[in-house]
Amino acid sequence: MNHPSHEEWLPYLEGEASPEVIKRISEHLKVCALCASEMEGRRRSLQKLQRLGWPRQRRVARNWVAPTVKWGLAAALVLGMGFGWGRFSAPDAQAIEKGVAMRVRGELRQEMRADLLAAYASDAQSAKDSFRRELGQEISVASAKGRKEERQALVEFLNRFEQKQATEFLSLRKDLETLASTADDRLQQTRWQLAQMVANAEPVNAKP
Amino acid sequence: MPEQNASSLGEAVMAMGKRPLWSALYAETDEQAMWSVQMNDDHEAFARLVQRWEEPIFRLCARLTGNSHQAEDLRQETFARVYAHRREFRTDKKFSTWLWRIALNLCYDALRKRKRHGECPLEDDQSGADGERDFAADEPSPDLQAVAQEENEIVRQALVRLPETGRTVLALRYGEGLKLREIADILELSEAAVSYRIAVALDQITQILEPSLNEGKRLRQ
Repeated sequence: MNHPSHEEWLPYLEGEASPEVIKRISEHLKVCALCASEMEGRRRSLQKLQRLGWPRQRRVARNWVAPTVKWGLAAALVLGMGFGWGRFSAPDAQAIEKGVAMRVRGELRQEMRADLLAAYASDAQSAKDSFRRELGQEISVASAKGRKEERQALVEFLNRFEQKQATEFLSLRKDLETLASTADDRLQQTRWQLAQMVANAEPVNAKP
Repeated sequence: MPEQNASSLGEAVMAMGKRPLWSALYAETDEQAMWSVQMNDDHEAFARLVQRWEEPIFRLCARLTGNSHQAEDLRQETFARVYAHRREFRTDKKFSTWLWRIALNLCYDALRKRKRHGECPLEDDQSGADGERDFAADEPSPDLQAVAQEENEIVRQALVRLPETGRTVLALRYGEGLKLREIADILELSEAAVSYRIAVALDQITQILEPSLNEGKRLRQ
């Protein structure tokens, strides 16, 4: 049997053979099972080669996306670990709140005391040294006792001071009235003495 | 083929990137671009040649070496050699023939070096299949992709088992779709010799892929 040569079957396989060659090979393949199976095998190989996914160039986008995703995941992991660690190691929120409240209260107390001192100190003419000193001492004591007590102490102090001032004023007034009365008496006495002196001097000077 | 791709106006504009539209009205041949490179050291013309040919050259190198990373290096080396030897190019010859030949020689050198060092020619990564997916218009289902990948891997391994001559002719003929005349020019052989080599290589790869056929062949002999 005259089997087709490669010069014949290759163009036949690739679809480039002449009609005569196609006819001759087709007829041969009908009667030669061996050639037919070989031709089928070659055809399958050719098809596999033609649709073979040859290694291709990788796209730039692929190279860009993969590391970005990787780095994104790594960053998310690190952030997540940091967040978790922070949650477990952070101090109690209530303790922080209490601490802050205490600090704010203390600062407010200091500021209030400073404002009061400044207010009294600025009115230098009307305020007395003793008053400022006493008030300062009183505020110090009051601030140490706390806000409520501070207010109470201040009110008490002001009441006491008012009473003291009133007492002092009354005493001063009495002293002044006494002084005025004494001065008036002394003035009248002096006036009387002067009149006596004038009366005694006149007859001597009247005789020729 | 690159010439065919650049033949239509739209594709030529795409391929030429930033070049003005009027320049796409005439299709610059590879030989014209190479002449410009040769005479004026025209970097832009060289860039156009690289743009047109880098993927075919990469594919050929990958098919011959079976390793996409090595193929990347060989592609770069090919264009470096083209530029370095630009004065030696004869403009009455076909640029593609000269380029294929340079790439093939570099591939053969690389294969010989690898053989001396006893390295495995095949890579383990699935870059081929991935690359195929990049360019596929309609993506098959994951099952079909897995089957195709498996088949690809078997064919790639079979191809690497062929002698260099057989691998080369199959790559140029069925990978790049070159004509017998073109392959004959590249390999400096007659068309008949190329045809014979293709037939032999096709039989060899069929025997590898379909061992059951070997028995029938042996009986006939």
